[in-house]
Parts: sequence; C-alpha cells; structure tokens
Amino acid sequence: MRISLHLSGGLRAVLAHLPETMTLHVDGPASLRDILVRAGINPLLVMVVIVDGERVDKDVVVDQDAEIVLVGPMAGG
Amino acid sequence: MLYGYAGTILEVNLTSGRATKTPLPENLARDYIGGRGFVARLLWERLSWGTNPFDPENLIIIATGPLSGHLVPASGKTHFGTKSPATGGYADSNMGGHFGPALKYAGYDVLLLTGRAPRPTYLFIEDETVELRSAEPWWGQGAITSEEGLKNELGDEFRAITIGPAGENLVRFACISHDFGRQAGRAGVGAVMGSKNLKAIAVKGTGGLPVFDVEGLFKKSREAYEKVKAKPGFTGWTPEGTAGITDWVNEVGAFPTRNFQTSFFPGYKNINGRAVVEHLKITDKGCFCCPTPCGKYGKAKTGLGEVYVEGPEYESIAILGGDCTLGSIEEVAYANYVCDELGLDTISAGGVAAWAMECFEKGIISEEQVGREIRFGDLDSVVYLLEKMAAREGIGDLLAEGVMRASATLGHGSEEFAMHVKGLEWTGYESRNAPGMMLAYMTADIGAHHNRAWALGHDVAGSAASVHDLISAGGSKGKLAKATVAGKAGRVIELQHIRPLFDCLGVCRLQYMELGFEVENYEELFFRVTGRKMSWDELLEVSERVWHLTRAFSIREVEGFGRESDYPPPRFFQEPIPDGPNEGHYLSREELDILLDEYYAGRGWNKDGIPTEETLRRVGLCDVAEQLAQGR
Amino acid sequence: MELRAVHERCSGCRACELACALANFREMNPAKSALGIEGRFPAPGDYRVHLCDQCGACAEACPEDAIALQNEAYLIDPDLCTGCLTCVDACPHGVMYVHASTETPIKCTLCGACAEICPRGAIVMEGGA
Repeated sequence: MRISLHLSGGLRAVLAHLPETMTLHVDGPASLRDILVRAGINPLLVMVVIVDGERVDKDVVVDQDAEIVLVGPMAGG
Repeated sequence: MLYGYAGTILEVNLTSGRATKTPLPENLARDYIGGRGFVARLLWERLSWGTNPFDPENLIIIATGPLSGHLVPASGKTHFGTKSPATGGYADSNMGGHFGPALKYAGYDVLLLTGRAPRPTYLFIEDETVELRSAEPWWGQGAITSEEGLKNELGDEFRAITIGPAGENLVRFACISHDFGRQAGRAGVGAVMGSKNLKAIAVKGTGGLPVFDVEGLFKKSREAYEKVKAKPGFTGWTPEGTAGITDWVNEVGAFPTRNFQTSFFPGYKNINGRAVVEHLKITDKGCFCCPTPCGKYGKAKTGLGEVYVEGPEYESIAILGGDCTLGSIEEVAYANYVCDELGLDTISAGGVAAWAMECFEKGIISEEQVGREIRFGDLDSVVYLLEKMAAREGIGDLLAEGVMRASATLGHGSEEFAMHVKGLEWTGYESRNAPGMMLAYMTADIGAHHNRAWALGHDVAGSAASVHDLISAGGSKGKLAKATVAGKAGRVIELQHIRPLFDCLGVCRLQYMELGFEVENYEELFFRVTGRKMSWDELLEVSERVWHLTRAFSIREVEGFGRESDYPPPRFFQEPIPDGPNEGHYLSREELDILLDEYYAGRGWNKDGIPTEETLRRVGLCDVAEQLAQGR
Repeated sequence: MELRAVHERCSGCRACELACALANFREMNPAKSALGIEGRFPAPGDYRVHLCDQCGACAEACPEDAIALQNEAYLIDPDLCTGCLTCVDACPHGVMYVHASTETPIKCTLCGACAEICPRGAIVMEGGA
C-alpha cells in the first residue's frame, strides 16, 4: 500500500528533522500505530489522525492506499 | 488617525453614574497594541496601590484589540482585567464570542469601570447612548437566564455579558458569561463585577471601523480564509473541538484525576471528543469571524435533568470529568451547565469540589459540616457542592474562598493537596512528568494556568520512549521515561510572549497554534487594518513588555510576592504519580528550583523572581522601575 | 443564480455580514449588510441564515418603482428611492435593512461575497458562471 503522511506544523515543531510529507510503501494491512513507528514517528506525539477528512483512532487498521494527516500536540481550552 | 481602532475609551463611574469618553491615546496604542496590553497598562496606571479587590475603587477593564471586529479570522476576542479576588494580584481573562466587536461598532475600544452602583444595575450601550439601568428583575438569576431575559427585552442584536449568583455573592472564582456558552472564566473577574452590583452589560453598535487599506484588506481577508480552509487539520479538528485532545492527554499520562492524585483516567473514552459528538452535539458554535468553531453546543440528559449547554471544552472535561471523576459525558456536560448558569469558572469550581471530596474521604471535613456525604464520581455530590459555593451557604462559604484560603482555614494537611498556584486552581494538565508545563504553571501571571505557555508537547517529545524501544517493546502504549528538567525555560519564555500576543491583537490564537496559519498572515492583516508595519518580532516585544508589567503589578499588590509565590502544591513535589503512563514520576523541590533559576536568569529577574531595574528599562518600563523602587 | 442557505452548517460567525458590507459599501460594518444571522439560544441551539431570495415583493410594493430586476437581482435605484421604507415592511424575509447613514434601504445585490467567504459552506451560490 502507498501511504502518504502529511505532518502538521505542530508535529514538525517537535519532530523538526522530518519533512512535511513522507511516503511509505507498506505490505498488507497495518495499524496506524505500526505505520507511524515504521516512519520513525513516536505515536505518542501524534494527537490527531485524519484520513479522508475524518478523524480516526490510532488503532485503526489501514488496508489500502491512504492520505493521512498527522496533527501534533496542541492545547485544549 | 488610529486606523483599526474605534478611537475612544469609555469610562463609567458606577457610583456617580457618570460616563466619560476620552480619545484612545496614540502612545497607548503604539506601545501596548490593545486587549491584554491595554488591560495591563491601564491597571498599572489607574488602580491605586493596595486597593482591595472588592472595594469600589477596584477597576474592571474590558479591552478589544485593533483587529477585533474586522474581517480577520477569529476576531471576536475581548480581554478583561482587574485585581484578582483569588490571588490579590494581576487578573486577566480572555473571552470569545461577539461582545468585543459590538463594543467597537458602538465606538469604544476600551470600557473602564470604576465605583459601585447603589443598586443592582446593568450598563446599556447603544452607539453613543450610555445608560445605567435597573437590573432588579434579573438579580439572583442565572447568567444564562439573565442573558436570555436581556436579549428578549432589548432585541437579539444586543450582545450581552452577565454574571450569575456566584458573581453576585462574591465567590472568588466567579466568571463573566456571554453568548450562551462563552466565559471570561478565570481569576474571579465575575466576582469583581458582582462587588460593583453590576449584573450585566448590553451593547449594540451600528458604526463602522476605520481601515487603513480597505481594498487590500478585503483581498487579504479572503485569502486568509482560503488559507485556513486549506490547512491539513481544518476538517478534522473542528467536529470535536478542544475535547478532541482528551485521548492524547490520557495516553501521555497528563490527565488530572481525583484531585490530581494521579494522571490517567481509565474511563477517558466515555468523556472524550467522540463522546461529545455522539451523545451531545447539535451545533458547531463559533465566535465572531471564526472559520473553526470550537464550541460544541448540545443537549445533555442525566438523572438530574436535561439541559442545553455549550461544551464541555477540554478543560471542563479534565476537571469535572477526570479531576472529579464524573464518568459520562452527559454528567460532565450537566455539571458544566450548572457552572455556567451559576456563573462559576468550571476549572476553579471543579478543582474546589475535587479538593472538598478528598478532604471528606480523608475525614478532614465531616458529613455534618458538608451537610451530606460527598463522593468522587457522583454527579449529585458535585452539583450539591457547586450550588453551595455559588450561594455561599453552609460549607459553600468556605469553598467560595478557593482552595488556597479554604485549606489555610481548614488545616489538617489539606494544604498539601490544595491544587493551586498563587491562589488560582490548577487546570487540565497534570505536570509531574512535564517540567516545561510545570514551569509554565508556576510562572503564569494569573496563577496556575496553562494558557500562557502550553509546553506539554515539548515535554512529551523529550520523555516519550525512542522509536527503537517502541518496536522492541511491541507497541507504544507503555510507560514514559522521566522528562529532562534542564533546558525548558527558553521555550516557556518564548511561548509566554507568543500566546498572549493574540490577546493584545484581539484575535484567537487557535488558527495559528492548532492549524499552523502562519504569522506572516497576521503581519499583513495588521498592516492593512492599522497602517502600521510591524514585524512579528516587533509585536512580540510588546508582548514581552506586558509580561514584565504584569509581574510588576503582582509584586506591587501582593505582600511578599516573589519566588515563594511560584511554587506548586506539595502533592507535586512530594508524591510520585501512583499509576498510569507516568507511574513513579514527580518533580522534586530541587528540580523545581532548577526550573525557576533557569527561568529567572532567562527573564532577567533576580533569584527571588523580581525583575531587575535593568530588565524593566530594557523593555521600556522605566516608569514602572522607578515606582517599584520608590514603593509608590 | 441564487443564494441558498444550509442552516445546519452555520456557526454564527457573521463573516458573511462583514464581507457583504465590504463588497457593497467598502465599509467594515456588519450593520450595513444585506443578510442576517439569527442565533436560537438557549434552545433549539442553532443558527438560521436569513437571505434575500430575490422574490420581488419589495419591487412590487415600491410606490416609486425604484426597485427593478437587473441580471437576476432586484436592485434599488437610489435616485428614485424616497426613503419611504414601504419595501422594508413588505419584505417577507426581513432582509431589507435600514441604516442611519443612508436613506435608501440596504438590499442584497446577489454579489456572492457572503458565499465566497463562508468558511462553513452555510451559504451557497447556485447556478450561473
């Protein structure tokens, strides 16, 4: 599967060495957590994951090509 | 010509009933920009030293910024300031909604209130008409009910702020309410309004605002909204709003639980953002000109009744949910509604309730003193305590003083777990393994507040296990390593300039902080509106000036203010976190001293946390330096 | 072309009112806009977008024939308007507005600035180029 990860400004503020967009090729179904680990991103730093404009849980299993937006830590209110 | 501003300060003396309009001074706008800058400067200049917060001489300053009311993303923010009944020092609170823009359209940048009305009163403003009118019909009624009543009487186009019974009864953490769900929540601004017998302010404005470059601004505004909409997080963030961070805060072990006894709440999925959307939400409700409405307005059904409420926000989930351990989102929302109607800050009131419940568990207060049994996780207990606080009835009279004063009165070790700094109750981030965040809480000007410097992301980045450890451990749901203590001060100081700058400009910081809307946009919008070319760094210098000014104010007003005022409660430096992702961690007194020493050095303050004369002069506060030296 | 409201998407921000006044008057003043956002609080807890649907009731009511259809929108000729405000009463949607700075009532010109700025998709311009 071709997975494109788009890192938000907030995430890159804590992972400054990573680019804004990363593309991975992953075999077979994989959980988002595993995909993040493979990309060198600690899942604990990702606060929100958005796939196709909708928020998903980090334990969701991805089984096809996907554009995934990763949002880093940010304050509540 | 001050483009962007309405150009006038409206001062109302509630004792005499006199309203005075004066031109907004150009040097005030130049050196302090607006909003929080105006609040800090006017408090310094106009408040007599040593005034008691509940004296008629205390001031309430309500200030908009130059961007408030303009077609700029999220330009509805209004800033409130006073001398705090909770801390005795600097108090300010920022509020969203639509009130500030209305003030500007009526012709006023700042509303300065002094004195005390002889009877329950509300302030009526319609363009140039300014009147004090009787608030007898609404005195004693809830903040939401009063706003509804006022708008029914005056017309829906009026924007109103109100206080509830808590403000009327001088509860030290009473808030000011607006637009059925927004608040100026913290530091007791509502109590000061109550001490002035001022129930509400209603404003309608039909004037326009002067813009330096209308064509250029209109073009840039439209671009700005397109840019925000194009941000990757735009569609995903809004549906859950701030409640959406609940899962993450638990995963990283920073969630207030049982009066901050621990930092992970096993039932968090029942009170998270998804729960808000699935069980409560009717409307995404937003502030003036905001593209990412964070308000989640909805309906909650519980055993105690059915209510409409905006919320709960993350903070209310953290304190009413985790800290008081209410287990369902409906119950959290219900408690939130009760706070809103009574006019209580959900954070402080929830924190006080949690403290009371721990005191009860430990046998420090009895069933007889409380009037009944109270238990963590019990909605009935929480609502009982909130109602008692707001009315200052029975145990409520002690609780209405806030945890600092209440624990000093009660004794028996209750001070050890009175979770406050300077007299203001702790907010939604348990920080025993987050040194940057801990430092932020210790040094925030109004007391324990997260919002000046949200440093938690950086703390977690440092303490989260390395990726290799994660792979070998088979996952990422494990324990966090101890976060490094050294080197945190620099980032905290930076954030303390960036975040409050938005409070000076009169816009919300969310699009920048959460979506990454770039600062260059604000530079250009500021120029098109005001005609002033200021770089972001130059704007930050103003924010830095304001930081030292608010510190100076507290030094001036609070006896013995200094390093000792900056420590967190003993729970945080004596008790390791008992369970969850941060099990075993805490920050020792020595580590807190490392944080403070580094911070004071970075700030140009002495070892007691007092700004040096050199520092005050460097940031353009020569008169403040002189007055502090003279003691007047 | 016509403007359509998607009420459930409205968050009450009123950027549309500002954009309207800027587009038609080059002024930063929502009191000079030709549409209205109504909040229904505390219950049912939502917003309604009050738009002109170019129904022509204003034109029919005008005793001076000052309101005429031009390119799908009814527009007021300020030279013919006497400021009698009959059209304001005649409007079935309450979207003819009066402002102290102008004798002529304020009416939607179908410029679409509101639909363009709305960050929520609560106002949509349909049909046309």
